[in-house]
This record gives sequence, structure tokens and C-alpha cells, in this order.
Amino acid sequence: MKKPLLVLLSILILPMSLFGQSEVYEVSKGDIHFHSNAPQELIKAASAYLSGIVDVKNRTFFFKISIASFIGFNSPLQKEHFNENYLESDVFPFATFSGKIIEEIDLSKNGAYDIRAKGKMTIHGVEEQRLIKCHLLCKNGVISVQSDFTVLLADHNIKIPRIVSDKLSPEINVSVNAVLIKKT
Amino acid sequence: MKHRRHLVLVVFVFFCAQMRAQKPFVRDFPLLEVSTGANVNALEQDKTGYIWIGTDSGLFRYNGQAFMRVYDSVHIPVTAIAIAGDDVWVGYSNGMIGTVAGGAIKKIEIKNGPTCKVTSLKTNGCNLLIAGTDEQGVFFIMNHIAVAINSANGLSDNSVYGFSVIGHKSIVAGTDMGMNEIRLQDGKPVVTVYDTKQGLPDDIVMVSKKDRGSGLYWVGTQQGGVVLYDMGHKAAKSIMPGKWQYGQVNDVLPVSGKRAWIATQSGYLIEVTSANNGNAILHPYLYEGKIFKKLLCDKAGNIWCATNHGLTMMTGEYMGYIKPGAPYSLYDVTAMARDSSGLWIAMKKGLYHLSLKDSMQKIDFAFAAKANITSLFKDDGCMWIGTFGDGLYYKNKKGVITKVTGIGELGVDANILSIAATKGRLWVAGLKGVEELSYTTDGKISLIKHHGKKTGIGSDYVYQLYPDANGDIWMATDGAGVCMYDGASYHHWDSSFDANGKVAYSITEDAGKDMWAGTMYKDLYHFHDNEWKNLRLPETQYPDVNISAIMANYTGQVISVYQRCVDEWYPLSRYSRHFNSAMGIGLDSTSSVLNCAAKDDQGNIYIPYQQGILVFRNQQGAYDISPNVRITQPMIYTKPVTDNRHVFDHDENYIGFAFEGIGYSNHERLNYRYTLQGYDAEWIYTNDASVSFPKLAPGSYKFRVQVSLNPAFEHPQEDDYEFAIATPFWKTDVFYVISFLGLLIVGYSYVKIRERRLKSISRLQQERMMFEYEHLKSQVNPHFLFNSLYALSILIEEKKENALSYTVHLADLYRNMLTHSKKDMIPLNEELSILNDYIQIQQTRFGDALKVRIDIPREVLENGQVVPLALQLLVENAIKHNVVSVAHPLVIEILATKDEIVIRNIINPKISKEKGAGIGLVNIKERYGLLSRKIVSYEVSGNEYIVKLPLL
Repeated sequence: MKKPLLVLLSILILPMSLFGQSEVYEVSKGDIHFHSNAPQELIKAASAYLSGIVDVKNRTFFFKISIASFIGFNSPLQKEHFNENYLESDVFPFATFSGKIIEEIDLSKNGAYDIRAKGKMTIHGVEEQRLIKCHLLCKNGVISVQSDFTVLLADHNIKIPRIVSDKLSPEINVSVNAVLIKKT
Repeated sequence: MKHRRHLVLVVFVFFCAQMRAQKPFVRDFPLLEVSTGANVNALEQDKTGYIWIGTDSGLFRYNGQAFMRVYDSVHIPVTAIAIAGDDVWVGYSNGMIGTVAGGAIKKIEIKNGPTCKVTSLKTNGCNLLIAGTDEQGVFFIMNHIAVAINSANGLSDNSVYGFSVIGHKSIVAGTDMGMNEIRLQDGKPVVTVYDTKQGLPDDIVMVSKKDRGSGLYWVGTQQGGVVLYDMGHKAAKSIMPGKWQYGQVNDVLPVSGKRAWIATQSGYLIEVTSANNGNAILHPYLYEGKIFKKLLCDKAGNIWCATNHGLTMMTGEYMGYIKPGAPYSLYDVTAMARDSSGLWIAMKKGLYHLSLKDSMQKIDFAFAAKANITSLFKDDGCMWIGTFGDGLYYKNKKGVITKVTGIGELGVDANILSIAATKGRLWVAGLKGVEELSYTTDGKISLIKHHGKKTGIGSDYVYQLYPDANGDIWMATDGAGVCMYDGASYHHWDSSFDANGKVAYSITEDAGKDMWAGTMYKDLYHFHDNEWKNLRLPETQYPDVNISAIMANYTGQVISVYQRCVDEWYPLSRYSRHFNSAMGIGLDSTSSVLNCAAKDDQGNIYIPYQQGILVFRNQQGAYDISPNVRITQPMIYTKPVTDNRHVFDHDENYIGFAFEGIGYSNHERLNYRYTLQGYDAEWIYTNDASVSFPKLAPGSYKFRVQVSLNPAFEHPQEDDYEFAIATPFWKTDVFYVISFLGLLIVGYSYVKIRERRLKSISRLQQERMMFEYEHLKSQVNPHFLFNSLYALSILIEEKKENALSYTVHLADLYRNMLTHSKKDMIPLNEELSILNDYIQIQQTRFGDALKVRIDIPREVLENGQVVPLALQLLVENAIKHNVVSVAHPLVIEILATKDEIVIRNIINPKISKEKGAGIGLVNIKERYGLLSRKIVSYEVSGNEYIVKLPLL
């Protein structure tokens, strides 16, 4: 699992490094929580396997998470459904978000910033243009990222059987926390 | 989450945004049968009036009544629409661009075109199509070739949202990294970027639109709200101090009157009005769960919103409502007035106040009268309150209400129907006439003059007093129609009003200084050029025509209130917009109290109805509610005419038309009529949107169809279709000429042939006469006669018994010769009997020296015909030319086949030739030539002479 990620990262970083000015931060610790708040059931799950990089010079980023790494469902069956029926993690093993940072902020400087990240979010193989607000805390070469956003299942062609419509919200609340450190 | 929203609300009130008591009506159109509705991305109206709607489920066309899905072979979301003239272009989420042709979308092949979502599409009006995309910048497309303008050309970012086309050569586009002005200079793009460094509140510019009046741009941003931006000075004027609270701005729709509507991602529709002091007033309306993406204002003033759940129509430009809480009840409302503090509502004996400044819509009790309040008149911060049986009250500027005394003949317990003021004069109408009073600001009055039935009004009952712009006072009376007092004399127009019409309930003056009167049973009267004209149509569809109030706003619209509906007259369109229970606005009934309506200083009109109070907004925009009509589909034998033909073959004469009305005000009340010029001069009134004409004769036709909002078709809109049915070739002039010539030729040749035939007949006759003559001559040939007589004498001497039969044969021969020589043809057997007589005579003379052998089959004998005396002549010739003696007997054989008779004999010529010969054979030949094509032939074969005589 690590290998293709490295390959991808190097592909992404390579053209940037060609500019010679890239300053890349990599996720050292990152987790994603989500919860579905449906009338009949609250479903929560989380994964600590968020990986990603941010190029603070060019203000671009790439984040990625393995769908199968989510744990904490109400039952093992639920996890199975999540992976097999809804997200089809064997076909679409990763969710990704890549794009640019709108605000012209020098993230190498210490400070707290509210920024908007715009890019393509791919979940369940369906790409969607998203604009996501993030709160960044930059301190001595470490960037802490915090962000809350929602994902509409319909946007990513995730179909909910009618029978579970009361148990699964069409709108999933996602919360991301990550710590990035400067790559040397 | 909920807590936060309350907090936000409080913040609104503190800042400049006003939550309004008044709300527009909204109506949702899901477009699809699914409960969530289609995701609408784009909206445009074409010049015909059709609204085009781009959705995730394809393109739709709307005519005000029905949505028509435009056929599309690719099932890709339509994300942008552009309209120029009759052309409609659509952009798709995959970068494809298509055009609408013949009721379907056709893909346009574009070289180097976009391959990602088209976010907006426009034309510059000169063949240039401009597409904004979400990843590849802007594309200028001309003649199927696209030129991309992106970050390589200086565009601040390749993610482009909405843009505006300025003139022919430049656009202003919003991107993720500021606003870009792209100007084509010498065919090359010059990009100027405006972002937060140039004063914009946010780098992500979602929309930029030029203001109608000023040269400023309305710039809507992702999180910085909306500003009015001056590109020249690079200065932004915020429309709202503090932080923007309404979410991402998706569209701004500038409308007339220094206003704009804003649509946001968070479900807000916001009306912005620029105030004179440079500030702006915001009226936000929240519709939770909706994402407003695009706005469109149609011709009639409806605002259409593209949302994530279908289409939403909003009446904010012309109408709204207020929903006051308890104790509001339509049936208790007796009078209304509007001043700067809000709305005053009299409900029976109580006077209530409704502040319109906030959304609380709480009714406050203000005053209790001893009798029902019938009339409220606001006057410069004060108010006059008229009651039914308890006289007049006055509310001063401090809000203190006191009873007013001294109102002339009306008395302290007066029944007051109407109150009005002109310069320094107060007019009060009661059941005893009208009092003209002078008054002071503290409510002291003194009588100037009493007006009544006897002074010249003609009636003591005056329902409404209305001072016009000239200061003349108009009175709606019961029994004397409308009366106008100009300060000196009374004016009546009794002749205009018949018996029922002498009751006028209500009177008003419109923005064009025309007067309007509402009457009992006779509906509405319009006073123009010193003449009253009744506007009640014979086909009027209202069950009750009693108008309880009429009132005009400041821009020309006249509102008339009926028991169950309200009409709004549009002077520009010359139609009324009709509001009733079918609108889905809860308008089941209005107040039956006369003149129960109010108008504010902006010209907005307030009318009570069951659910609250209707607000007919003063319209700054010159909205036009006229419908339009389009012939959608000409058809030949129910098959649509797809090519642009207007000339049809003579057998394509079954022509049908489908048409549809396009209108955004009362589409259900549209009336249609049509005529086919060249076929029928009459207009045919119909509700059927299709018509067909079978068996049209060749000729030129013009199909005309008209639509009107009133059944009288006073100023209808029209569409037409000219076509011709070709004349079949046998009815063309060319054909006539050709056939005339043909006839001439036929006639000429007939005459010629006949002439020739006549000539030949006469020649035949001539020939025959000649023959007859010759023949007779030959028969009376002295030789023949001599020989015959000599033979007879010998017979008498030697064989007496034979002499008789000889004489009989001779006589028969002569008789037959005389009989038949006149005929053209004779049957063969008759000819043979002549020949037989002749042979008998000759054999008597020659005896065994002459032998004639006749062998003719019986059927030939019966059917064959020959020229008369032909055989006799040939035998005679043979006898003439040959030796006939016992030593050399002459043998003549006469044989016959089916076609001819052959006469032959062995040649044994005489030494001395008999005279008179020669004419016989030639004559026979000529006669045959005249009668038929068969030729008489003769030949010498060996020692035989053979003549072949064809049978006729």
C-alpha cells in the first residue's frame, strides 16, 4: 500500500521540484472523521491514515485516504456494507482531494490562517469540484490543518437503498485534522 | 447549528439589512417528476419570450405554462446557455457545445475547444461565442475554431465563473484569483486583473455584472459578498458594512430603480436598493435548503431562480404579502392607511398599528372608537379617523387622538364615508353630503362650505372623495355617478353612465392623469380626453363585477379589487394582470368594505385579503405582461415540415399548424384566434393549439394566429406563416400555351386531311365519271354493238331458241353496266354475273374459240369486292388484243385466292389492233389507287399475260 503512494507522490513532487522553489510539507499525522446523522441512526467512523503533501510556494496540495482504513462503525456488518455496497472500496480504494489554495498566504511564516482550498475531490470514483474552508496553524515548519465540510452522497453517485434511507443521511459531515511537517 | 442562526438574525437587525414584513410570493417548479426536482444550472430568455433552462437532466423550454424537454442524444448536464437572436447555444459539463436546431440539440464540432465543464456561455452579438470553463480558462470560438485564453495569456486563474460581455471586444470574467478584464486588441487578448489588491473583498469572483444606470459593476464574491466596483478608479463600494452573512454569491441581477437581486448558495434571495445617500438597503429572504444559482427577470417582471431543486418563480418585482398575526381578520377590517411608521388597520371599532420595519409582524392596538371606523386619512404625520355614527377623530403628531367637532351639517355623530385633503382644505363625506373645511395642525376645523344634493353634486351619498393632481375634488356618488368640483362649479358626465352606472363606488387618478371609476354592476370606467369609457367587456369572466376599491400606483398600474379577485391594469401592455384563487397565493376573497386599501409614499398599494395584506409594489421596471404566440410546427399530412420549405407540391395540400402562447402572466387566460388568408377571411376563435386545413387549392396563403389576454383581441400579438401550394403542371400557363398550340396543330391537320380526302373523293368521282363515260362509250362501241346485233341476227336465223336468251343477256349486261358503273365497289358475285352475261354474248359470237374458266372459292365469292366492271373490262381487253379463232382458241382463266383475283390468258396478239383500247386497265388502276393501297399488277410471264386484281 505504501509503494503506489510513494510513486504518486514522487510524480506529483517531481514537476514541482523542477521549479526549484517548491517547499513541500508532508502529512505526518492525519485523521479523518465522518458522521452520518440520520433520523434513526448515527453512524461514525474514522481513519488515521490520511496522507498528503502541500507545496506552500505554489500553493498546491494533494491528500489521499484509503477507504478500507475507516474503522469505528456500529457493527462489522455496517463496515462491510460501507466498503462493499456504498463506497465499493475494492474498485475505488482511495478518496483524494487535490487542487490549489486560493489565499495568497506564505505558509512558511508562523501564524493562524483561514484559507479556502479549491480542487477536485474524488470519492467513489466520481470527481467533484469543491471549495473547502480550512483553518491552518503554522508554527516553525509545522502546519496543523483543521477542516469541516460535508459530502453529498448524490454528488458521488453513492446510491442509498430506500430501505435504509432513515438510517443513512444523504449528507455526510466530514472533519479533517492533520499535521504536516516540512520535507527535507 | 440553530443557535448560530439566531445569532446571525440578531446581527442583521443591528446592521443595515432590513428584514421586511413584506415577503414575495414564490412558486416552485420541480421540472421533473422526482420530488427533489432537477438541478438547474442555467437560465435565459429569448426575444420571443421562451425561457430556456439548462439542467443536469438536459435542456428545457418553458412558455409560461408547460416545460418542453429539448431532445438531446447525449445525456450530459447542461451547464450554460447563450442566446443571440434566434440562436440558442448550450454548454455541457464535459466541455461540449451544442446548438438548438429543429427542436433538438446538435453538437458543434470545435477545433481546440474546451474539454471541461462550461460554466458560462455568451455571444458578443457578432458570431463570436465565448465560453468560460472551470479548468481551462476562457474560449473565444468563431467558425468552429476555439482560441483559449488562460493563465498562459495572463488570465489570473483558469477556473472561470460567470462573465459579462462588454461591447463586442471585451469581457469581464470572475475567476478563483480575481476578476479579469479581457480585451481583444488587434486580435490579441489583453488581460487586466482586479483582485483584493485592487479593492475587491474576495479573490474568488463568482459574478460581475454592469449596473444599469452607473458604469459600476456589481461584483459577487465567494465569501466577501457583493460590492459595486468602479474599474476605472479600482474602488469598491460595499453594499453592506461588516461581514457578509449570506453565503457565497452565485448571481446578481441588476434591475431598474437602482436595485439588484442577489442569489446565494445559502438559500438567500436579497433585494438591494441603493439609497440616495450612497448606502444600500438590503432585504434578504431566506429559503432554507435551496441553493440559488442563477436569476432571470422575465418581460412580465417575474424573477426566475435556478436552484438545486428545480425552478423557483418569485413575485418580488411587483407583488408581495404581509402576514400579520392575531387579531387580524379580513372580515373585521374596515379601513386602512399607510404612513411612514407603518400600516394602520381599522378593525371594526379598534384601530391597530402594524410596523413594517421588521419581520415580527405584530399588530399593536392603538385606539378604540365608539363606533366602527369607516375611514382613515393620513396627512403629514397626523391622521383623521372617520367613524360610522360617532363622527370624526384626529390623531396629532404626538399620537394623541381627540374628537373633532364642528363638521357642519354632518354633526358630531356623523356617519363618515370618506376623508380627503387639498391645499389647506379638509373634505369630509358623510350621508348628508360633503363638508369643505379649513383646519389647523392641532385638529381645529371650521366650515367653509357645504356641498350636497341641492348644491349641485346630485346626491348626498358620496362614497369616495379623491383630490386630483390639479387640486380638483372628485366624488364617487350613489345616484349621480362621478361628480367633479373644481372650486367653483360641479361637473357631471351623467350621459356616460346609464341607470346602474350612476352608482360609483370608487375613484382614482393614474400616473398619466387619467381618472378611473369603479361602479356598481358596470365594472370599470376610464376617463380620458374628457370622455368616460366603460372597460367592462361583454365576455367578462367575473361572476361579480362589483368593484370595492380602485387605486393607482405611481408608474401607471391601476389596481381594481373585486370580491374574489384583483386586477392590475398595465397601461403599457394594455392588459390586466389577474390575480385569483387559482394562483396559489391564497386569494380566495378580498374585503367587501368599499375603498378599503392604502397607498404609501413609494406608490405601493396595500389590500387586505384572507391571509393578510397583499402588497402591489410600485413598479420601477416597465414590465410588459403581453403574451406572445409562436407557430411551433407546420405539418404536411401530420408530418412536421423539417426543411425550411414554404412552397409545397399540389398534392401536399393537407397542412396543419401547431402554435403556442408564451406568457408569464395568466397563461391560462390566453385567447387564440387564427385565419388562413387565401382560404378564409374570417377569424376563427379557438382554445385548441392546433389546426389543419385539408385539400387546399393551389395558391398563396398566409396563416396568421393571434393571442390576447382579453377576449376582444383589441391589440393582439401575432405570428404568421406564409406558404404556397404549387399549381400542378396541367394548370400552369406554359401547359396552357402548349396545349393551345397542340390543339391548333391538330385542328390544322384535320382540316388539311379533310381537304385532301375531299379532293381525292372528288377525283374519284371524276375518275368514275370518266370511266363511266369511257365504258359506256366502249359499250356502245359500234363494233361491239354491230357484232352483237350481227350475232343476234344469225341466232334468229339459225337457233331461234337461243336468240331470246342472247337478247336477255345483252339487255342484262347493259342494265347492269348502267347500274353498277356509278358505284365505287360491288360484290364479287355481282361482278361475276355481269361477266357471265358478257361471256354468254361473246361465246354466242365466238363459240368454242373462246373459253373462260372461272374458279373462285365460295367464301371469296361471297365476301370479296372489286371495282365494278373490272373483270368484264379485263376479259374484254383479252378478247380485244388476242386472236380468237377455232384454230387458236382464247382461253381466259379467272382464279381467286383470299386476297386477289388472277386473270390470265395466253398471249396471241392480233395483227390489226382494235381501236379505242388503252383506257381500260389504267382506269382500273387509278380507281383502285383511290379506294385502297392495294395495287393492281399485270405482268407478262412466258407467253401468259397475267393481271392480279386485289380483292377489297
